[in-house]
Amino acid sequence: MSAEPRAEQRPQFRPVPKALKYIFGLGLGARAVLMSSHLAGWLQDRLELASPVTSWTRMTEGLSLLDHGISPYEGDMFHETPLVLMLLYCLSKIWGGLIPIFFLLVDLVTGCLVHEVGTNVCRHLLEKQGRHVKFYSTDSLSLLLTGKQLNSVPRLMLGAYLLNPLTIASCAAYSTTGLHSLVIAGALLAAVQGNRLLATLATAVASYQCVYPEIFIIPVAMYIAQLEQGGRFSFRDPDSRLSLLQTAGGHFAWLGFLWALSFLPFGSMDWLYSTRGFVMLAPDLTPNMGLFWYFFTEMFEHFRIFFLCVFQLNAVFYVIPLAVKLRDHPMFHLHLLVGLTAVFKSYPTFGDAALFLSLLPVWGHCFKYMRNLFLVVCMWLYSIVLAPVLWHLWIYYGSANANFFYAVTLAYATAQIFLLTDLLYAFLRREFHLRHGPAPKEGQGMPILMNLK
Amino acid sequence: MGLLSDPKSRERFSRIAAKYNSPLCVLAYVVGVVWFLALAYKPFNHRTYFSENALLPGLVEGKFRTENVATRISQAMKDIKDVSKDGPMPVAWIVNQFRGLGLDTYTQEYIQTIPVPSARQSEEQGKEMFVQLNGTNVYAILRAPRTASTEAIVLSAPYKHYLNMDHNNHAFGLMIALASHFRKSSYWSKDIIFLLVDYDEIGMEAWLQEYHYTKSPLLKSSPLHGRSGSIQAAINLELHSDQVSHFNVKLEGLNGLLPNLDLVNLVVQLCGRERITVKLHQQRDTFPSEGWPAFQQNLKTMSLMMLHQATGMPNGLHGLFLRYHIEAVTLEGVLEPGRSTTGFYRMGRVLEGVFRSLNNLLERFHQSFFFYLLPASDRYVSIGMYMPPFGLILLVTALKISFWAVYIGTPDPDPWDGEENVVIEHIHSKKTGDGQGDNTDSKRGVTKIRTQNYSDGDVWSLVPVVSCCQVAGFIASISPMVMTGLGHLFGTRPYQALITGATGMFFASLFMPKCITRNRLACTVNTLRLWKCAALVLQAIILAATAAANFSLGMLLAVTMVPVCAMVRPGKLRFLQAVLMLLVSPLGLLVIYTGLYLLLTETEYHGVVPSAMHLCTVVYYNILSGVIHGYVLGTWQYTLLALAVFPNWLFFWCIVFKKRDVPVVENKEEKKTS
Repeated sequence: MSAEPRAEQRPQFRPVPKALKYIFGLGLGARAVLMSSHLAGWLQDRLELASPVTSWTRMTEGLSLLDHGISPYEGDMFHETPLVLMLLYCLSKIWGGLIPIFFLLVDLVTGCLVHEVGTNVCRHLLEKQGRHVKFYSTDSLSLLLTGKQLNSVPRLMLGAYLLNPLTIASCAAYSTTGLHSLVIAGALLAAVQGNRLLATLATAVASYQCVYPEIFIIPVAMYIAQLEQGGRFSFRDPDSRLSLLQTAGGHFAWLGFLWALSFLPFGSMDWLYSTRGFVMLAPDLTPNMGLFWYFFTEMFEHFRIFFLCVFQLNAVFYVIPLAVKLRDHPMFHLHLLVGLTAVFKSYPTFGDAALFLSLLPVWGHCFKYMRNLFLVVCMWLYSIVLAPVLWHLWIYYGSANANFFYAVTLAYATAQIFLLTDLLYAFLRREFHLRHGPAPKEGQGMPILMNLK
Repeated sequence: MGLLSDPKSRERFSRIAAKYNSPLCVLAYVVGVVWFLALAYKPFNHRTYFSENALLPGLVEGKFRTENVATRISQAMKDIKDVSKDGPMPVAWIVNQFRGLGLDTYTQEYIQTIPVPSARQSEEQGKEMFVQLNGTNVYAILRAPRTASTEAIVLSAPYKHYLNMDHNNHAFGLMIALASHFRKSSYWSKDIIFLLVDYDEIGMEAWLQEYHYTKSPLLKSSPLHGRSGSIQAAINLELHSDQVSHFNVKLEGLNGLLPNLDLVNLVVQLCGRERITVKLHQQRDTFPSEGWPAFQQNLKTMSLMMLHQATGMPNGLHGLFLRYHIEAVTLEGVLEPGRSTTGFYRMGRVLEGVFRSLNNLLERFHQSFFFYLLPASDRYVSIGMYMPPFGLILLVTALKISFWAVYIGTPDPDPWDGEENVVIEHIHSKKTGDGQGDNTDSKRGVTKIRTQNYSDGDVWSLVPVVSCCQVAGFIASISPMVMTGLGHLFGTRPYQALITGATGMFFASLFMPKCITRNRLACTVNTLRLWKCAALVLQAIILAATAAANFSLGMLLAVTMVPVCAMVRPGKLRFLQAVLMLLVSPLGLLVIYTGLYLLLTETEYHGVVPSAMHLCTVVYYNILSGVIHGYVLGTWQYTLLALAVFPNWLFFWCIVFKKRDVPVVENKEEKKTS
């Protein structure tokens, strides 16, 4: 707490650069080694790491089509956005060796952004706590955040991103998931800094690249409005509404700008159907770690539209109840959305989940109220190990079948949903305890038993 | 969801799981094992049946009458063999036999490098470091008159028997006889490929790789000039004489793969129709099929099948087809003295029936089971029946995990002696200024407090332990080849160097607990609880994944490792625990299961010492073939043992020998003031 003597804190800061160096060195080293080993080729075709949108194999197809003067969006093969395509095209034209360096750099920058997100969110949490502390119960001092406690958070986040085997494998597979993580991390950083122009640009870039971050604009707009309005923020207040609308308008203006920019190289908007349309309509039912493919292969064709709507709504709908419940905590809301879209999107990969995992240390102070953390970790490990095994049995040996693999993807999704709901519960419970003390009593003096039904 | 969100029912569950943990574990284990063994008993398994109706077995009249061709050809081949003893395959003669029937006949040459340095060649020239095998495959294609070569069936035979190196001339004779019979018929809708391979599995692998355009760096072969369509099924033929008493049906393929049960049924059914006895692993089906002796016999058959499957090595050429998603079995004709015998006529009729049934297939085999165990040739245990007992055995691990997960962080003194369980932490002696006092403290086994978060166990202490174990596993996985390379420099015999490499790391890492002493990594009781929990989680993952890929291997590992690893605890009865752990170590398990296999198959008993010597020899060859097959054929059993099972075992081994640190509660401020 603030009572902590300053002299105690200073030596805590000193090892930071060293630790960062280690993390960067280890992370980059592991990526470089894996990229140059013979495993890289195998990783590139792993469906857990590369979805039809982010697969490097498809990217090479797109590059070669572009090289032959054919628009890659005319076929049904390529689904990455034009700006990324042009960027990689330029790189590959300059020198082929730039591609691995590019992917390494992307992960490195994402790591830095995640680190910055950590620093900023921690500062934001402390500030907010300072504003709200007068409403808290006097008994709950032990629950309050301290600067010392949050000190290691950015480092942990950086480590969780750069040293996560999933991001390492995903980077070595040249999957553009890394790029998606980069733009999402950028959106998170810009959002927490609260600059409207930057924040709207960053969310626009993120939703241009990965479609689902479109819903980020709701918590971002709420956050900015709250910064502007202070305590007066409410959905009924005309000033607040104006602020919300301004943010949303800025977002769509930027998005329009990006679309216009993408119009230039090909002179048509065909790419919109191949990228955004592909993600929304999910026509490619190649198995992946998501929930779409199995369901849509099993289903009669005339229900397709209906269930497509249901599945896509499921992916984005939670933003509304969360906006109501977490009205005062838009940052937490935003981070939950990163996790939610990583589960429910149409073409998820391990890299998406890894980004959400690296955001978790910020909410480390809620962990003690989580109830299923151990279960989630176990389920996660199981599904990550079993997915390639069962895939191999199904596709190569032909002895298992699709149900085996789908069971694993279900377990994977369930683990993530448990994690999300548990985190939400823990967060709300901590808020409750802040207001009512760590051990609230009922009228008769019995300890209250918390329950979430 | 009640259990996950409702704290009351959750608490009740964890209380029950903690209170009755040991009885529940014993119960789950015993029930699991008994249930699994009971699956071999007739009322608990099912009778095989045909799922694929297109096969229509035995509906056509057998017209095979060219058995005299078989006799003539096999005799002719025997004569050639007698002239050129151990010479190369008489390729030209074999090609002529096929051409004489008017079949498209082709040859394929290949060179296989075995990554074992050959002492002889290197001394001579120094340019060829590795053993190389040159061989030639001969194959002939009978084109189907009804279709455009889009599908094919294979009848293959090895040129020599693998074990006794005797010529497989009878099988070749029967093959030619069948070819001459088949080519007269107009009803074939699938091409039939007759394939004679040199050097057993290597030749087969060369042919299959070339047929499917897959490449391996160690195997170079000439391209196939004649091809047919996608191969639907394959029958591999091994005959030990022209009169056989029974067919031994071999199923187990590469990496524990099994052919579709429909194909096995087909062969068994048609053999029964021609009154040829069928055996699995040389074990006869029992009659009467119920009762204690029958149960013993069925259990023996099933155990032999599991032991074979667990090795991941194919026990016939059919095993290599399975990797390419081609269903295949080997029919081994065996002559057992004193039994009634069958000649080429009835063998030919069985094969004719099999091929005509396969000819009827409209789709690939997919209807019946791919995961099964056979206690008798007409009884099966499917995946749905054997997974529940396996799950019960894994439940022991799961219960222990939940037990320890509950106990981590509780100051409850009970598991593993609590009076020491006050506050203990890392030794911080070297970093603090006053080194003197600390050294004396740590000599007495006293450690100091550092952080406030003592009760949850130190999660970060897992990182060095797990990574050390994994590194040991990685070294074990690459050391056979490294050691053969090094041994080559020192003039060691390659196979000895290979064995040294495979087992050396195992013996070296037994001393690993010495490396994670208190000075390097101090542990509280809670940290050790956390270690145990993590080790159990890893074990459960490894066993589940192994059982998914190769059930027998997973089951055999689980039956032995789970109870021992669940009981492991630091401190007490260290010697007994060490003995038990050594028994369930990868090497110990190999010895145990090889012993079990010998016990089940060997009929004569020569006394303790010769048997032990024999056991050692067999274990030696098992390790050797496990490693070499891994390189040549791509079996992953050795890699799995080295990279996953062994590190996990090592983790438990470290827990056994890890000393808990004696705690002393010290107060920093007091010290400062003093």
